[in-house]
Amino acid sequence: MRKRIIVGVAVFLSLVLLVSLGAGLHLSNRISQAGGESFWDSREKAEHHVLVLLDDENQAYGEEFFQGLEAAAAEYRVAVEVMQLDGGNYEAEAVSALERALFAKVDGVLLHGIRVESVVDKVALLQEEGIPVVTLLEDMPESRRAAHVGVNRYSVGQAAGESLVRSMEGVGKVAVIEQKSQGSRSEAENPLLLGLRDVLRENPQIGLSLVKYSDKGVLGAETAAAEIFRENPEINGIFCTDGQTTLGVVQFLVDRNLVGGVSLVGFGNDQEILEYIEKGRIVDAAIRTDYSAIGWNAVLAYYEQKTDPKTYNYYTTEIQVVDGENIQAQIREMEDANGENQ
Amino acid sequence: MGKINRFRSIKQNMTTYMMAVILLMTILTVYTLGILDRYKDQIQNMFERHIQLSEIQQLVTDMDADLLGFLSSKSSTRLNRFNINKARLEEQMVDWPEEIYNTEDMMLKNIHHLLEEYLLHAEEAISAKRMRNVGKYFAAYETSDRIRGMVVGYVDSLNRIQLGRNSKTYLDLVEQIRLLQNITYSITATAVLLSLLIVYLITSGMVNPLTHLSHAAEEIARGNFDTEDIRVESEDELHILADAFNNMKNSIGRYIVQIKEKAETEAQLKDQQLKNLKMEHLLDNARLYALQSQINPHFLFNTINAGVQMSIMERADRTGAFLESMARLFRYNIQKMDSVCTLQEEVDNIRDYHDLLKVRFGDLIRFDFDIDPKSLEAQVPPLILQPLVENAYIHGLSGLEEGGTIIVRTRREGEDTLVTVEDTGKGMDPESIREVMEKNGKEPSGSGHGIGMRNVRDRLELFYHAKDVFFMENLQEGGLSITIRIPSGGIWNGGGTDDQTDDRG
Repeated sequence: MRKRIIVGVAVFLSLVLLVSLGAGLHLSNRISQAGGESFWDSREKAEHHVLVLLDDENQAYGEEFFQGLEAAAAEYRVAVEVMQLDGGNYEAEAVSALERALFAKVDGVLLHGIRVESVVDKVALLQEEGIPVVTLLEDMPESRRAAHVGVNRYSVGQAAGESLVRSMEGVGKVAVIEQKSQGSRSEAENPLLLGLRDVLRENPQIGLSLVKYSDKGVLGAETAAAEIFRENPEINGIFCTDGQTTLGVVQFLVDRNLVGGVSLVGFGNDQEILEYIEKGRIVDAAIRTDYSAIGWNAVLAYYEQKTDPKTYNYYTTEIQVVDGENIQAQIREMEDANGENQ
Repeated sequence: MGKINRFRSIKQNMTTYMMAVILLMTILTVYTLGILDRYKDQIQNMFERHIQLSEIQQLVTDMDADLLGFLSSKSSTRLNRFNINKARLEEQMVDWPEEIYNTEDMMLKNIHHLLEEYLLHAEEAISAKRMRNVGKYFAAYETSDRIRGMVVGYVDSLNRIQLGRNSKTYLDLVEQIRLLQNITYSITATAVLLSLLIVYLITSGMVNPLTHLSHAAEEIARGNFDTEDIRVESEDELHILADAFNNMKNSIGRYIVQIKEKAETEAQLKDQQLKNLKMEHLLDNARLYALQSQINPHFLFNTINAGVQMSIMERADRTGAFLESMARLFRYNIQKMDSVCTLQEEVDNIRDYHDLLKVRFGDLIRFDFDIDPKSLEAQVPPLILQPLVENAYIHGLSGLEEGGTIIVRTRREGEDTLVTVEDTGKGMDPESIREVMEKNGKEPSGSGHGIGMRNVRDRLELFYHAKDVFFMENLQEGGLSITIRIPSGGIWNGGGTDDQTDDRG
């Protein structure tokens, strides 16, 4: 009996010792591994290093964009280094960042496009140094960039025109408000305006009166809208080419009690814009696109250009018109998408 | 062979136990050192990169100042300092990680490449300065300065990231170390308890057998050899010691038993010798008695023989026959004192005795002889029947006016021979019978007939080496019956010889 008790105690103590040692070693392993973060759960090393230069004021580069970007980065083992450049000083910061990319010898650059000479020259220099540059949203074909990812702006113009014709009931004057950074090319070369004009040409009672280039942000849009209505009070249809501008014009119409008197077609996936469409009367329609697909395509374009430069180098994303008829379906779709993401 | 293989000396056991304790303590120590080492590594990881980046930032700042100084004044001192710092920087850049697993790796890679570009443009500026190409060295310096700014920017960003990560890591570390501390307490306590258990096993394994041995030794010292054997389960020197102790104890026990048996045998031998001496003593007494009585018997025997001759000459036949019987009786008494005789001789002696009594008392005392001829060859001590017949005559019949009968009977019963002397007298009181029959009873008192009976009984027992040879009882119809059982083959072997007989007739 005594021997059994001693053996039992010895076994019990040995088990406690082994379990404690195991727990201690496990915990110490956790301590030693702490801080060893990795881009991906697989803890694989990145095969490419890409510098992503974005305009911090552009709403296109929101949550959806980064979801697509990160998913593609994980798929193709691309380490993305994102730099949010000041939208108010985008040109200078883009030049500096491209120079940094050159000196840091990154494998590639995803650049929010801006058609200014200094940036175009830097993109051309990087291309010469073997660093492929993929432009986002705004194309820079003169820079000999490796690829472009964005929406088909001609189609955007067409869709906007069709929405305006429906909401204005075929009669009136239309104004377009576009941010200055995207208005660097001539109106004749702007595919968005070309698409819009082509639609309006088929509706002669509706004419494009003017194109206004605003400063970035809501305040810039409100200022632009005020100028338009001060100088052209006959305008009863407005097309905004980005989300911030759309929200700025909404504020102007509400403040000036012009709701219902002016048809407004906006751009973007902003929740607030969708809510205005749902309420009716303020925003008649909005052109939206899949920014997640843009993020994915950005990385995909780099990867394909890096591994096989001869492939097609123009990556477009489909657009969609959201209006009173399909707003409920769109909201449900967005809610489902948000639920899946959560 | 198996036992040899299983044998483990105390030294080996002690070594094993000590090794187990040392192993436990070693595990505890190694474990603690390992934990401390990992903790130290983690702390080092947290700050090592930060220190390196700070050094790089300082080097680049110093190099930029020296480069600017050289470009401004063409000072060789500044150039030397630049080159020294450049060497240090290049030393820092050796084994710089190129693989990217996370944001920090990515930024380190950027810093590495930017530093290479910085050195390249700085060297370009120095070369242009030496060639006095002002525009070129200025442009190169401007570029290097911008790159330096980028490096500083990356270092700052990286430091911020690391600070944030380290803050989180530190909090995790504190929590985990607290838990680890509790686990280490548990391990330490368990190891100590196990060590105590091992020490207990060592001491009890050695002390318990020794305690049993000492207790057994105390018992043996008290003379108790019937203690149980000491059992030691371990196969070590204590087991051998216990076996040896058990063997010694058992051997001594057996030896003592042998000595006791030998002592008992010797005691029995001495007892036998004592009995022999006692018998000789009795014989001596009888001989003395006989010698004393021979003073008159010899005189009387010669006188009786003279009387016999005189009666023949005077033609007194009956007187002659009487005296002749008396003479034979005396001669038998004198001759057979220390020899062996047959039952025939004893019966013949009684017949002579009868003849004498018949002359004296006529038909008042009658004798009835019931003799089995087959029994007459039995060997008996001499003069055993005469005392019995005298007793029957003197104490049984002599007081009776009507007289009585003395019956002498012999017969074979199986292998034994029975001799009975009965009388029809008044019997004997039980107390006297008891005094005669008791082995260790007091000497019979009274007129002396008890002494004679006791003498007969003792001689018979000594002669046949048996106890149940003499019986006496009062008969229901009156009278006393005395029976002698002569065992088959009961031959006396220690008696004297006929040569010792003092034959004076």
